Amino acid sequence: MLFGEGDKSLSNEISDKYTISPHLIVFPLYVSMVGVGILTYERRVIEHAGYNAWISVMITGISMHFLIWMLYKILSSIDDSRDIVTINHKLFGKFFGNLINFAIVLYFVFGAFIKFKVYMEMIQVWFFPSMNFLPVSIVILLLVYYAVSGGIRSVTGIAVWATIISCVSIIPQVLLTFPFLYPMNLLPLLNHSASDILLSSKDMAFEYLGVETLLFLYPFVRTPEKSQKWAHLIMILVTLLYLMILILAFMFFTEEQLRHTIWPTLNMIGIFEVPLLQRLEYLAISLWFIKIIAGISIFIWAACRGMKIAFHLRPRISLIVFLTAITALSHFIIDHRTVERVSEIYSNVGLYFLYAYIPFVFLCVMIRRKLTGPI
Amino acid sequence: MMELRSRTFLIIVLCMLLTACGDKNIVNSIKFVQTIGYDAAQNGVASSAVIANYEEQGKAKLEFYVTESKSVYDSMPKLNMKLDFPIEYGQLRMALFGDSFARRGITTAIESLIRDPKISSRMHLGVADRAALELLNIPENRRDPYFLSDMIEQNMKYGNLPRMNLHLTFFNFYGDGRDFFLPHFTVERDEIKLDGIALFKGDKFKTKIGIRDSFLLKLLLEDSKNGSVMVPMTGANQTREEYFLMNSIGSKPTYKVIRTASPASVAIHVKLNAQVKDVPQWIDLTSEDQLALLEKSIEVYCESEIQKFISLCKRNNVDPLGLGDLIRSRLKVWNSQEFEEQYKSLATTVRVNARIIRIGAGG
Repeated sequence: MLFGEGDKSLSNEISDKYTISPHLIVFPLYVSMVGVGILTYERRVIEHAGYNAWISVMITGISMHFLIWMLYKILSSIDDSRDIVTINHKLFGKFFGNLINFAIVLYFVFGAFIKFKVYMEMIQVWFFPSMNFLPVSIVILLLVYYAVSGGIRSVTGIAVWATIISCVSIIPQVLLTFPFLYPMNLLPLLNHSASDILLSSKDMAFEYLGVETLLFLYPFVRTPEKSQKWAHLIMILVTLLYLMILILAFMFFTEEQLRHTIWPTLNMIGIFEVPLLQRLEYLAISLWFIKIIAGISIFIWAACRGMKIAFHLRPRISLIVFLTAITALSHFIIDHRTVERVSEIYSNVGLYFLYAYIPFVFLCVMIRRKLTGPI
Repeated sequence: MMELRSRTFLIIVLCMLLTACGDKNIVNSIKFVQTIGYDAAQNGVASSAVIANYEEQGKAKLEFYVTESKSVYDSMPKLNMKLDFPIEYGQLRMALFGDSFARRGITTAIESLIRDPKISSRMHLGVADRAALELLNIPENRRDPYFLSDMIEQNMKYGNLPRMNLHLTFFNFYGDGRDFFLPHFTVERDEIKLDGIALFKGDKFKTKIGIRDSFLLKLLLEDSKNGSVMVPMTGANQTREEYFLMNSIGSKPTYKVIRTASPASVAIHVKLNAQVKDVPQWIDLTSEDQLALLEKSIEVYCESEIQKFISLCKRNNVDPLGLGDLIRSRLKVWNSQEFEEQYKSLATTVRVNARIIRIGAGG
């Protein structure tokens, strides 16, 4: 039963039993894009563009729509097994194709590790500074194991819950910050150069990493062509979400203050006083847990799927290997500086993956189709 | 079926494991610092911590510890040397600065507070007119660890204090063209008294304003609901100046920038809804003319006092109203130093529109 598709058959055909409806694609996409970053991105995007960074968010959001369009074009252009592994095989040959596939798999595992580690760090700073994290990591990753071994359907199921919970925790935030907002902070509307705004857009791209899970999700969607509008819809919603929280933060903090704040979104939540709960931000961090589980699960699922179709490796084995690797890595990387550096590497790699590799593949596919007909 | 059951079991066990690992803190075996005071000492800082000792339910005995250290940063470890249980300051709700400490600058103290995620950004700060240690020692305060913070809280809600807390202090501190302000305490007949607001320049205590000016500040910054002020008036056939009490029911300030180039000019308009209940004998609150007279005296008084308050700010070069920020928001390039030079010549026009909408139950 492991992985849905059945362990013994290693063919790439996917039975209807394991596919998801087109509209359900919004949940895995939302979960893989919005992670811990939403608690900290405000400080990062203002580094260049200052309080004009809301323009950068919109620019990045629009560019993401182009990427989604490209992804759908690439994936719908081949007839059998519509995923990136097969495309790489066809475009670059077996050896180089597999080299790229392995890199992509590693990239997803790396992404899962970053999600995991940053969340752990947050728990460490806010909750338990002196706790031993090895047992907790093992427990969390066992939950991930459980989710991923259920296949894409159970991963999507968790993603649904994670999305609901994050919506529930965001709506009150909007309402409760109102008395503390100073709209004047947003003025003047334009006092940074275009290049500054573009540099901030580049920083913002990190928050959208995760959209590339589509490369593996696509064949699991029943009538995948129909899911494109849903993918665009969730992209609009995610952009609006980032935009809304960013503008709230701009009105809540002054620019210099925001530069000094490490977790702006959490600090915003922390200003509320609610009966019984003195500190709302602690509740928010705990609620975030399921979101993190879902995000890690979807990345690991994609990695295992990649291993399976590229190297015919049993998903259970690669799953165990990946989870062990994550546990080991997070046990050895302990200081904040290394985590920062590692996530910087990840975001740079992700940036090239999205803005260089995907357009490149897109061009190759288009040229191939022009020259030799459908591939 | 078996598989489903074992999976459910696994999930439950895993969830339970998640709850059980952590640093636990039992209320009896930690020391809650609830109020802390900072004073300038010979070479460094003297910090005094007020700690409640929960021995029985509902009863707290206050303990008081004072340590001297080189800087604010090592006051907590130093304090631990005097305690039998580890110190915990997640419940810290008040930091009080002694007069000389506040005049020297409080950046290090408040920055170390905001950096700690355990400390709520809703906590309060305050300035004493003497050593913080002395004020915290007032017997009244020793009954309740939250006396000062509750006092600030209630005065913001039902009195003349504008809204403030750690977050807003930082907002004004880091904000361009803004200066922060904190409540100011004194001692009167062995009781702690809130006697106004301490205005800061940068991080240094500059000057103090009284409780009447603090109403004006509230009027200029936000809804001044529940604030009150004594307004003087002279009747047509009265020689002596008499006072009546004006309660604010709601108000709204609006700022308009008239000119951004030096000398800048700003128009302030305040709409004020008031309640007047306690008036001199010769005034009849049911008469339309008399009410108009009262409204007029409120307007005249507030306008002239606000102008006086603003010139006091200019004289001391402090900007609690954020007028610099206002000008900044209208300019593409803004320089805080340049603005500071022209701050003294900034022109303001003030107009107050008062309406008496409640007059009590007669008399």
